[in-house]
Amino acid sequence: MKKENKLYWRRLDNSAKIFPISAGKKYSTVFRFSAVLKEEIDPESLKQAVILALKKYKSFKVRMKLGVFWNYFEDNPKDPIIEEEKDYPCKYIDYKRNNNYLFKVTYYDQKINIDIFHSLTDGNNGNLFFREIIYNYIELTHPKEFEEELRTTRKVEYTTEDSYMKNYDKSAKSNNSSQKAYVLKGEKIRLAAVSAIHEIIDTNELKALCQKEDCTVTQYLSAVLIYSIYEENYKKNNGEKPIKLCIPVNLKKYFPNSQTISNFFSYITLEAEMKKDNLNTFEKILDFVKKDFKKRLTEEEIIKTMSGNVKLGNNPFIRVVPLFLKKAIVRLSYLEIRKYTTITFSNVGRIGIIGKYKPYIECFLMLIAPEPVEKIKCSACTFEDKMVFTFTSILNDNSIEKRFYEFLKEQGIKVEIESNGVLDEFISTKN
Amino acid sequence: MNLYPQKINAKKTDFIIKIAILISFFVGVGLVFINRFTTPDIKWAGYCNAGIVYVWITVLYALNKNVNIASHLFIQMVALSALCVYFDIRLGFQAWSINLAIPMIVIIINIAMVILSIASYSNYMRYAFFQLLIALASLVPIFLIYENLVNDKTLSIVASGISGLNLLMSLIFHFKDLKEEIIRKFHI
Repeated sequence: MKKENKLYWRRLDNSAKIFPISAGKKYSTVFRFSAVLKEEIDPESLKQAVILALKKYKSFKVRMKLGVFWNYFEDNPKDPIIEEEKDYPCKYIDYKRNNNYLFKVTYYDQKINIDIFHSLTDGNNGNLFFREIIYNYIELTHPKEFEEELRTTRKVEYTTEDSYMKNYDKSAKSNNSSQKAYVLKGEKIRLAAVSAIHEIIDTNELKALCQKEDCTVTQYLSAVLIYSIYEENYKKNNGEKPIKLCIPVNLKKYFPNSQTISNFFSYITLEAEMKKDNLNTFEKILDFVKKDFKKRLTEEEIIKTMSGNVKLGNNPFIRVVPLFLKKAIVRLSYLEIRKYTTITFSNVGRIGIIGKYKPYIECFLMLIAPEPVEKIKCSACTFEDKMVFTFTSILNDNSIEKRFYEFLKEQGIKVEIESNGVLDEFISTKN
Repeated sequence: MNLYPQKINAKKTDFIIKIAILISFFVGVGLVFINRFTTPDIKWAGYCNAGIVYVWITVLYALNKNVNIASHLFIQMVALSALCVYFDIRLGFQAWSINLAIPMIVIIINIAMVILSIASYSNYMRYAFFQLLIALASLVPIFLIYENLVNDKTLSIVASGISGLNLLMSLIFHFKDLKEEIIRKFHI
């Protein structure tokens, strides 16, 4: 018989293991979802909404503990702390000051944020939990309209299994490139500030353009991003190494049987050899992106990448190294490891919201923490007919963001700009 | 849309702590100079600086909210013992630290752990790992007896007995918790 007070604990999934080892104030490995509602946020209802969501998604009600060889999760008996947003987005979550939680819910005006430490889950699963909070919040603040929903419970089905271990291919050979990437050059913003610039794009216009160019939205935006980097940073600094664009991939699409709420993502890395392949115009870059996507976004290639990473984390020699040594080694080598990517662009796609709740929501945002090497990170999510493409940056220069915006405007796409004001003076907000 | 706060504050607490540590450092250095120039025969600045370091260890630890009580007891046990040994050495080593102070600390901490494990029986799992660490650190008086470093063995024997009893009680009443904690901490 189970002891009532027995503490729940679980291992970190294969991909999550690296984050607590490498994370710190400079590498927070935190991502954020925000929902902009149409009314001012009520903190008390928000707290209740989070507590209710945690009852369903118990895998988020955990704290991180130190083992001798690996970290692990343990049930967290405390209530989460809900605060007004004060700091820059995606900052390192000091869980000792956060009732030990690995996510942090904040609010500002009409916006609800959740910052999630990547060890806990990935973007797609984090979004499920966030949506549950939003549903609960809307129900609690509009009890009359949601009388029926308050009486019943939405069903959620998930597991905390390590889907990497379940699905990786032991015989797959690693496809990791050994060539380092071009690293964005420029002075960093002082006082550890983070710039957040949101480019709100009309999806109908963007889709029409992509149809014309015979590519997907992610392919098109990837090409615009590489082109903007090339024009504003690569050319000016006479770059030599390839621009490498890392695109996270949701593995649930390839393994539909997985119902895990833990991390289950892999990535593809586009390698744009700007000089060698003479990629000096947008048309050439778009053509390259389409071909490289076709080459890399295959089940076989993605399984290879995933399996390579699983095998590394599963290596018996690595497993028996004490955690403090793992931490020291990873932190020392992390600056070098990160040099294999120029920039990351994560597109979580359309945020599906139940129809009845839609009128209460203005839009969704997604942000990823930038790092000393990957000084800019990009993310996108779509709600209704608005896609919000976000640049989070520690680079004291927003010319890449500006070029990206101007390029889309030149193509006749409606784009609006919102930002946290850190680098505002450089960007035009006029349409 | 008004998406972000206009004025984003830095972490005030961290800044204040850093400033206070910096001030403490300069106070410590100042004390050394005052000691040198006023009463060079009595090395009192060393005691003051040791006190400052001790205070900071405990203050910084206490500042981290949600401190696990057992972990706090363990830290106090180690820090206090080290401080006593330091003072004893600076005062010409009359061995009062190992004869009296360390056994006393071991006794107090182990009694506190017994009370803690009784008072919070249902939460024992949270303290299990620190119980083991305290049991390990409580072996110091036995080691001192074994190495014949203790003149008056009474208190050390009492301390060893109490820590042994504490460990035995834990094993009897919380064996499953301790076992699971060991599996959890040492999982590969």
